[in-house]
Amino acid sequence: MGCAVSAASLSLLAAGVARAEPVRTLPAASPPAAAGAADAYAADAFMIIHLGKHLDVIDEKGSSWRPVRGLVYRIALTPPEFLEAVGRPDLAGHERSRHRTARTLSIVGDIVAPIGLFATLLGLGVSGGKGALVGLGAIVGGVVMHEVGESMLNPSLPESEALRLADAYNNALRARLGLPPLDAPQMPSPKKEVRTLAFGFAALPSPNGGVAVLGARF
Amino acid sequence: MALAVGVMTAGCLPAIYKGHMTRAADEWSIEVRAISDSIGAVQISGEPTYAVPPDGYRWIWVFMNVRNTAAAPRTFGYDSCELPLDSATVLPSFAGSVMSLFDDRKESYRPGEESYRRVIFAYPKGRYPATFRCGNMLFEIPRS
Repeated sequence: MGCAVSAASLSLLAAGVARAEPVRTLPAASPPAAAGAADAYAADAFMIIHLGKHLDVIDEKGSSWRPVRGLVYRIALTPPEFLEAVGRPDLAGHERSRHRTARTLSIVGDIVAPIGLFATLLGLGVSGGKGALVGLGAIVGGVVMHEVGESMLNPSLPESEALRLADAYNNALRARLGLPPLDAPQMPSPKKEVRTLAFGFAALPSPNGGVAVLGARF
Repeated sequence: MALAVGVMTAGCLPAIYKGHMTRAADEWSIEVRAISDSIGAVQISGEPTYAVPPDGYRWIWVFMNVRNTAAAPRTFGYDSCELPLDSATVLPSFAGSVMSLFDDRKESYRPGEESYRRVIFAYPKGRYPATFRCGNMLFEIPRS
């Protein structure tokens, strides 16, 4: 809307110019178009959020990533949604399959462990120990399955590859919108916060309390 | 914990900021009601699990009303909210209502719909953010 307001202002200015110099009305239309392209880019570009211990260490051990769409109003996506949007349905399918497996392991582990606990308690009273051993095995197995499943919830695709895919998509998007490539020198943007975000880094702790940092590269 | 948060948001929460700051942009309107760093743990929705901030960090909670002023339903992404930290930007670790957290960090709003929400950031101990931003809505945080 900020750009829309700017565009409206420019349109009014153009109308004023048009009254004084009617033949020059067409060139005045291009700034609003450029602003519209910049808005479209800010709304559709991808950012990759780095979840790790350091701001600028991509692919660090134990780190993860997640994608968002939009540079100012950021909408979280799942990794498969991102991968499909950037034209890699094969990778999206792999991530979905991995996520299903992870969920299945986690849930089955959640079911098996309490059954093991029940079997252990029952076995202690009835069979004098054998049943309890089976139950203990089920507890351990259930916990292991759950933990393995939880550990597989992060995407398997390396963050560096996700960044490369996002960069490629964003550069193609800029080209489609008629915007200059990000590496090229650009005129100062009227919406400074968009540029700042596009080139900035961000920090985010992980939900489990471990230090995690988040960054976006453009 | 949820009940405790409810009581604290009602007015007895020690706060970095408490009041009414409203900004509007892009057909969104946000009213910040309170900013606090005095709640030490975040309950993960539906689980007997509390998230503690990483070493050297504490949670900063922002309580706000989010309103869709557009004539159409839209989605608000809580990753649009951020705190500055030197040359970096801190995004929320958690976002949700007072009673629960949103796994997908986004929410659909009907035209004119307003909801009371919280976003929770990990921020270095001893540091205070000068601003809070959601999208193109910038709030300067007064220091008392």
